Amino acid sequence: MLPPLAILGITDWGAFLTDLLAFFSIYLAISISLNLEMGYAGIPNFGKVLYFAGGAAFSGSVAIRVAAVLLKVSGNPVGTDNFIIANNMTTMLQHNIPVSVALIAVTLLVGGLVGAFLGYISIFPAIRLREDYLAMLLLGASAFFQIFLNNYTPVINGTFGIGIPDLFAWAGSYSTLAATLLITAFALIVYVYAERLVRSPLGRTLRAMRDNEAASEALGKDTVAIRRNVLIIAAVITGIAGALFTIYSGDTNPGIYDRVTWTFWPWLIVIMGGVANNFGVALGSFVFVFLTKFIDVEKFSLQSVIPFDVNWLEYLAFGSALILILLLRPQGLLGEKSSATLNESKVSGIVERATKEPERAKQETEAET
Amino acid sequence: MSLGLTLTYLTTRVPNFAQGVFVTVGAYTCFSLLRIDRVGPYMSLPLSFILGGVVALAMYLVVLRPLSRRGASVISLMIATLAVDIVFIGIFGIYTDYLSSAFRIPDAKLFFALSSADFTFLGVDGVVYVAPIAVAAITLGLYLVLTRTTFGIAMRATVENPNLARTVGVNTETVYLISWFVAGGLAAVAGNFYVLWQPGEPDLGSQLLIAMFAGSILGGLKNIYGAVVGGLLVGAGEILITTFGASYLGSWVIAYESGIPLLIMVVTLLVFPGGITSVNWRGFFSRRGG
Repeated sequence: MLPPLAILGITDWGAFLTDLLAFFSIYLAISISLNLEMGYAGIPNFGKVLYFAGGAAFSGSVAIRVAAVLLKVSGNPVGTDNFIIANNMTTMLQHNIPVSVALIAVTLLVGGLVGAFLGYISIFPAIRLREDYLAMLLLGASAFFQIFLNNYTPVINGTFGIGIPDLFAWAGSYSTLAATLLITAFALIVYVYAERLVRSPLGRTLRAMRDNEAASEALGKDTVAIRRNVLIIAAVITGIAGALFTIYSGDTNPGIYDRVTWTFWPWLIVIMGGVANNFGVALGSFVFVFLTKFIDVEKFSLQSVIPFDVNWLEYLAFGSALILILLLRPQGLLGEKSSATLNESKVSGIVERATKEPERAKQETEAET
Repeated sequence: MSLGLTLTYLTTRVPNFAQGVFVTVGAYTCFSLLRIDRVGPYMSLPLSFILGGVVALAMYLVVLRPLSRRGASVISLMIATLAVDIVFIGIFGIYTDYLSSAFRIPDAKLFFALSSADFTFLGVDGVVYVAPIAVAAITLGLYLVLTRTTFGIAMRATVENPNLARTVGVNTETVYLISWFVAGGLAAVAGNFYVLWQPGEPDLGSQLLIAMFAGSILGGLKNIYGAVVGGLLVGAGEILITTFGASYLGSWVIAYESGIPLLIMVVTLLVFPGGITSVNWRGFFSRRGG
């Protein structure tokens, strides 16, 4: 065995890359859903953390309750004994693949349902209010939701949070990797779905609605229904992402769901990568997650030099980065591409025919006379 | 606080999510002066006002003005104010770290109400008297400036119709600059008062943001006096509803105290989106009477 090589201060590259992939996938899914709302449908959603926290907290809460029933564990699974119970469950699940898979399915289902419900609620303000009022309302609602989780103990035991059993315990030492691959698969599905959606007739309708709502209504598009559908789809994606994050991290705690991490960073990613450009968003997610994770590892070497907590520099840097992007390159790394409905050779063919047609007609009339 | 928010909204037509920053600036000016230089909390008011004003002015000049000159959308402007808020999370974090390490102030991250530094009158803390008087004075002052001075008239003209105001020779840029300075200053003064009877911490402003928006919306974002009324109603509502709710429904209501401004905001937006000052109350009452 070779001694672990410390390249750039990272000793465990496997763990580093797994972590990177997991966070990249989570942020990719959330940012793509935000891009659907903001970039394509023109709904500025400042409450992403609401759906994420809803999906994460409720799925965790339901998962451990269902596990208690299936594994016949007594005691209050979200009470003070939570961590002992969760640990026991992990041991039990090590050789119980069917129950583990069932629990994963339940967790994802609950995440999606909670997301759908919260998305359904937010339709009412989103359709009626102007964008600035909507932003204030959604910011407020997500702050309130955090207060609710902090104080209403039956969900996730208030501020303490709850641990949930490792649903990939059967994979042994590869459990984190298995969870990561599940998240990656989900992010991939979301990406492909979003790409297909924006290239479909619905995608064109969305852009038409964003650019000129009155005109698209005049063409007979039901803009209210389209908005509603996009909001719910995006909320479901974010809710499931929340559930996946709960599975990955193994616990859920109201303190995690702050608006900087789950609302502001996705906005940063979308604006950095390029509004209304899914590939740009993927690139933005990668750049952002890579930078944060890299800083996470490297900051300890900086800590000894400066007299304050290095974490503050991260806020300073990313906040200023966003302002600079807005000022200097508002379209992001990759801007929105104009969507060609026909390919180029066909378009040029039509143009050619259109210019030649009058000439031919002229020649024909000349020939007749 | 709501007053400042409405003032900035009036001038730039964008909800300023970084308004909380100015409040925190005021709160920490008060705290630092008291702990380091032993300056009383009321003596720090002018400095709070100036610092809050300078921060607001810098934010307008560096971020918002260039953006709106490029014709950025409301969404970009809102995102920019959020970004400023994030930048200041970092700055306050560094500042409080610096306070605790350089001056050995252990409670810089979270300090209790500074009521010990306050004077007492008839057994009640001084801030209970001073804060309402200050609000009344500020409102009266604003009213006088807006109605009796040339600058006030120029300012109202700018708000009504910036292009027309420019045509008749009003320097709208100066008006914007002064509005932002005053808005930041007032928010900082509010922060300075706030820490006299409530605990303070670096994200104080962010926590109060919802209440500020509720106050502004309730009062009507298009009306300066409305903000005073809205702010008072939200403050009073928060305490009254919590107290009554606690006695009728049980003590669990208290935990949700900070949710009440949100509730007020939702109800306002659904019932009268223009805020209470937009409602024609005279017509409302006469219709009822007749």
